[in-house]
Order: sequence, then C-alpha cells, then structure tokens
Amino acid sequence: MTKLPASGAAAGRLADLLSRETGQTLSEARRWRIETSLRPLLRAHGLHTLDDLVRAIDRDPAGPLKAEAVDAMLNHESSFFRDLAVFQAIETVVLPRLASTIADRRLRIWCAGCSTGQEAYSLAMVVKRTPALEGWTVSIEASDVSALAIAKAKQGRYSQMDMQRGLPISELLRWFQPVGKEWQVADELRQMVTFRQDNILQARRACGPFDLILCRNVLFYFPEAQRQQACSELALRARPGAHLVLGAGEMLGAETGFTACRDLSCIYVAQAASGPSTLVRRAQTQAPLPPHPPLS
Amino acid sequence: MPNCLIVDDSKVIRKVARHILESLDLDVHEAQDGREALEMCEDQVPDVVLLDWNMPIMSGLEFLKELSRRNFAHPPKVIFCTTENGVDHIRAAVDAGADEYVMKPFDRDTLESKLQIVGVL
Ligand SMILES: C[S@@+](CC[C@H](N)C(=O)[O-])C[C@H]1O[C@@H](n2cnc3c(N)ncnc32)[C@H](O)[C@@H]1O
Repeated sequence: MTKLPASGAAAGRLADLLSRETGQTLSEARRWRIETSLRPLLRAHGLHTLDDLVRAIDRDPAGPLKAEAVDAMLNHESSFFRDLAVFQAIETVVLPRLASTIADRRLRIWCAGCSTGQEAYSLAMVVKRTPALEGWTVSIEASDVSALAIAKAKQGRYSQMDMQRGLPISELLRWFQPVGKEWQVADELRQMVTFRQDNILQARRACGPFDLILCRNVLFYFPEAQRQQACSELALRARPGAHLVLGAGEMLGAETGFTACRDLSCIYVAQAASGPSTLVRRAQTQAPLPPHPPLS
Repeated sequence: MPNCLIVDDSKVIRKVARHILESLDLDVHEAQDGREALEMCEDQVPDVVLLDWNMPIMSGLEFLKELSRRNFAHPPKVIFCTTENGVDHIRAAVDAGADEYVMKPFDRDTLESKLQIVGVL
C-alpha cells in the first residue's frame, strides 16, 4: 500500500494546483489558509482531509472537483464602487479624456479579474451617467479565471450585504429590483457587459484593443514572473493612449509598457509601442497552449 | 475631525456604531430618539447623522421632516438605518431627504463606504 501524504504535502500539492491553473502563489506562510478556504468544499463532498481531496481530484482529474478546489482557494473579494476615489477619477477625468481623443465614438473597456461582477456593473453605471459618452457605443468585456465567479457575475444577483458595500442608494433605486432577499441588476446594464472565463496569463482569444482596462487587486497575488507576463498581456491589448486602472496601492514599473498618470493615483497610460497591430499578429501566430499536467 | 450623531433607541446599536465610527476617526455623539437628536442639532449641526428609522419618540421620518424645516445653512448628511429592504421603504426615506441607507446588521466596511459616498470621509 502506498504511504499517504501528510496534510502539509497535500496543502503543497493544492498550492501547486492553484499556481498551475491561475499563476497565483500561496507562500508557505499563507498555506494555513488553504484548509480554511477548502473546508466548505470538503464538507459538501463528504471528504475529511486535504489528503482525501487530493486523492479525489487525482481519481477524476477532468471532473468538476478540481475547478471547485481552485475556485475555493482564490480570493474573490470585491464590491460595488470599490475604492470610490478611483471610480470618481474614472468618471470625472479618464472617461472625458478618452471621449475627447477617440474619433469613432466607440469605447472598449476590459475588466480583467472581474470576480463576481460588481466592478463591471459599477463601470456600466458610471458610463450611463457620463454625459461625454452619450450616443457612444460602449462595450465592457469582463473576464475572470473562475467559472463560478463568472456564473454569478452573469446572473447579476446580489445579497443585501453585497449591495450595501459601496453601492450608492441612487444607483440601487435606478438599477436594481428586489428578488426575495436578493437584488437583481437591470437587463439594461447586463446587456452592456460580456462576461467570459479566461486566464489573464493565457488570454488566447484575440480580444481588444481596449481603451480602458481595469485590472484591480489581481496582479498583487502573482509572483514577479507572472506579474510581468500579465502586464505584457494587458499591454498587448491596450491601444496606445489607453488607460489602465490598478487596485489602490498597486504599482507598475516603466518597463511594462505603461506610464503612471501624474495626476491620478493607480492609473497608467499605455505607451505607443503596444497596440492593435502587435495584438493581431500575436493572435494569428499563437499556438494553443499544451494541456495542464495532471495533479499527481 | 468630522462629527457624527448616532440616533437610535437601542443602546447596543449605539455602542456598536460608536465603536466602528470612532475607529474611522469620527467624533461621535449619541441621541436616543429623534427629539433629543433635533435638540442636539440645534446646538451644533453634525456633519452626518446615522438615523434609526423606527423609534418610539419621533421616528426617523419625522426627524427628517423637522430637520428640513430648520433650514440649516449646512444641513447634516443623513444615513438612515433600517432592518427592512423594501424598495418603497428606501424610496420613502430618500424622498424625505435621506442621503444614504444601511441595513442592520452593518459592519465597518459598509459604514465606511457610506461615509465615503456622502463625502464625510
Ligand atoms: C480580489 S479579486 C478582485 C476583483 C475586482 N477586480 C476588484 O478589485 O474588486 C481577484 C480576482 O482575480 C481573479 N484571478 C486570479 N488569477 C487570475 C488569472 N490568472 N486570470 C484571471 N483572473 C484571475 C480571481 O479569480 C478573483 O476573482
């Protein structure tokens, strides 16, 4: 009989799985969180330990348990109008600035790492109330590596707690309807946003170029190499002059293809080198990535 | 330091709210009903009022009506606090002059975000 791996080893295997699927690392110091975050999943599947979970995933590597485990290890924390000052800057400075430089009255926005949708819907609300964009065609694409987060985002239904974290009362009254104890976002906003499951590090689809990209509180969880890879994916999909919005306190170096806006914190502008031509070339030549190795 | 008046007939809610608001660096005062709150506003208009909706002596709605009658040069922002989440209920509060609302039970993040929305933080 093979020797059972110790829990520490199982935690390590699960951390590796997270890293392979999403690029995110859990340092040794943060591994204790694995057990806490996976406990509900263990309970739901009648499993007792992390070792049981690893074995169950190994038995059925193509089954849903693997994705559920990865999902449970991700941090999906989000809220409507998270970091209000940033949304105010987008509304009062970034959108009018973009509107004055784009001739064809089409604005393309990408929320990369959109979690359960609050960020993308907040943007849609801001777009709707920005006079400079009246009559424009505005599309918001929102992606996340987590299929479960994307399913929730598409549904657009939020708990009372989700609602009151950050959503102004005026927007609640304008865009939401109560459904039982929850609130449903209006179809008019849902139609403005296309949600899709996608990994920033392997964004294979030819999406973009975008005029405005939000990638907030995502890069923070990547180790340096993955952070750089994510930045080049973002740069590849940004048209020159596009604005990139990061989370409060997140920063990028100049070598990333983006320059910090002097007047706006956490907001960057794409330099001229990144642009649609690079994107199209890449999309045409890119070979599909090999499948992930099995967990074991 | 912005100041906040908590108006609630429940001592527990006042205590919880005070704890959160002080941790957000607000100068906190308390009133146990709408009438006491009005008197305190006449002495010194706070920057923001966290207002319970259902109180035995002068409800939140009556307080708002009285407040608007006072015509203060700088009226306080009002965040009303309720246990009901009906749209009609929320709309009635907004029509009466409330700026924001929170549902009980609330936490620090929620109150912080509401104070940011009304421009107090
Ligand atoms: C902390 S949430 C931030 C959500 C939102 N941007 C915000 O600031 O409120 C981070 C999100 O990034 C997603 N994520 C992590 N790694 C990713 C990857 N490689 N590709 C796409 N999304 C990823 C997670 O699933 C999670 O939903």
